[in-house]
Amino acid sequence: MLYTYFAVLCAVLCAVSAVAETATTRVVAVMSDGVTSVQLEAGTAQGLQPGVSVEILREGEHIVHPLSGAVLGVPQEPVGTAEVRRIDNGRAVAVMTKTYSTPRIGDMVEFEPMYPPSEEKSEESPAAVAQVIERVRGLEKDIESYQKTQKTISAYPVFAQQVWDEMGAIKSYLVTIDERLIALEAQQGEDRQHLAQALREERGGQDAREVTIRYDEDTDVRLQIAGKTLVISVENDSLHLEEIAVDTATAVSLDDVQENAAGDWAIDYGSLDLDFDGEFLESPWVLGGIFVFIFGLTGIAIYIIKRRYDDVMGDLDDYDQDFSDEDFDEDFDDEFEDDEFEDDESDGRYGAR
Amino acid sequence: MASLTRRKTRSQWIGRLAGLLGCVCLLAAGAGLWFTSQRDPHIERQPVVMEADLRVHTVSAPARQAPNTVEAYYPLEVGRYWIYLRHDAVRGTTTEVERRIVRRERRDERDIYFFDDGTVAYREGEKVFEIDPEGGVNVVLADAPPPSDSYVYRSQGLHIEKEIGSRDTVLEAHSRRYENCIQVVTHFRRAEASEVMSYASYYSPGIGLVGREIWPRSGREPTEVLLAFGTRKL
Repeated sequence: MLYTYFAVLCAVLCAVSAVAETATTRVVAVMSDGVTSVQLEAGTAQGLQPGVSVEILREGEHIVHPLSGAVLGVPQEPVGTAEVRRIDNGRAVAVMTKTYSTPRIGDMVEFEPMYPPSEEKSEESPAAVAQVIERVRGLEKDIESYQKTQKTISAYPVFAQQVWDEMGAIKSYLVTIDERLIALEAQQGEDRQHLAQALREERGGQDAREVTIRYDEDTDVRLQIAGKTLVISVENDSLHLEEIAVDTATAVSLDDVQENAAGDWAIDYGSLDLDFDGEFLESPWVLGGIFVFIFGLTGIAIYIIKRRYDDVMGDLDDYDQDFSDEDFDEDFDDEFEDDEFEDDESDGRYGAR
Repeated sequence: MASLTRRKTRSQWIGRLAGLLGCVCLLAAGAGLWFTSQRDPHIERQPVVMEADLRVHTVSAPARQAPNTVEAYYPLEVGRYWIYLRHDAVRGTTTEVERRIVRRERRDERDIYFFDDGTVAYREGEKVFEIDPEGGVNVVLADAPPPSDSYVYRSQGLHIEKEIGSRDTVLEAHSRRYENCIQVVTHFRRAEASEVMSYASYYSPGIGLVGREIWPRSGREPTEVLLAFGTRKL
């Protein structure tokens, strides 16, 4: 995946710019006389010259696929860099300029080969050879233009094939949608039938009660109740139902009713934005709020009970106080003697007035 | 009589105090509910904008100690998923793609994790080896091995070098902020060529790869940005 992207980048890179090649060789000897130097397997013929910088790497344990066991890569631990100082017997000798670890025989060496500029031949080509060269160059140009034309022509069928494939895919997609729509319609019809049958069974199986509400002379609304089913029917068609404007902030529309993955029905209360699931109750603020709310209610209840108690007890205290007061007794006696009871002299006995 | 009046007055005051306290508690409860509804942490996925938005900052002082283990920077567990927005500069396309670990298998005393796209990954030491279905190898490392502070390997004709750039990078991608990210700079070239391409990958602790961009930055869009992540478990 990612390497496909890398490969495309590399291809573009190679097409756009001339790329300097690298070559590899091996370390065949390691000399350490004050300064560590290495002898390489390559020499002038392979592009090594004095002054060329080489990188020494050590291959590690192969990276293998954990399932197939195929070798997918090789770790290369950097050992250091070296600079070629001389060529001895066709083999370059390089001095280490940066060392991460001690070089060993067999370590891999990477470098960019540099070849000395070749001497231009000053001999003039014969006329026949010049003609052949001219002819070959012309043929090369023809081949290049032919290849370009061929690419352009070959691109059209590919494009047409892609368009054809896309159309085929769209057609199959439309056919699938059509089939699904037909299936959905059939399912909807079956659901209606099931619902009607269920209503009939429920209404028929139990005692149905019927209430008719006369809205006006032309309008009768009939309510049929059977078990848990309530059927509302309008007998005359003069009843007009008007939609009541509902506050959109708190309205629960049918579109908000969604069926969740478990098959249960859940209502999304939209802008109310109250989520009464476990997380809501886990919040310390909510728990604290609930606690304080209960505490508040308890306080108010105590206040009401206390006030009521005080009223009742206050009245009782007043009554007791009045009853036990001495003035009350005297007044009572006076009133009893003077007002409440009179001596009925005519009858010779006391009678209550 | 006077003591009775005082008692009555006292009890009335206690009752009023209890009522006032109840009202205060009710007000506090209402305020608490309102405050909770205001700070209700709804984690919603940002609307998908098909534009790879990535801002990278390198802070001078890390907020906290960043981990050095690759487990932290590339958590491997079944059910974990990442949704990326990939931008292909060559084709000019932007693709939203999900990567998900679907299986784990124990072989040769190591756990092998299988992704839904065919990639397999396993941990070895302080490195995670990620092998795509075409055989390309990507190595994720949280700490550069000494002495060269880089990890070099060759795969599919490519010479690849990984090195740790920085450990305290802060990334902002699609209104999310990732701190203490580790930056892994990858240099790669064809084995026989010397032209080197580089890209930087950013790994966030506990999350994994959160972004990838061409390195050094040239003002172009990043190649990969994390949109969402998480763990799906039954």
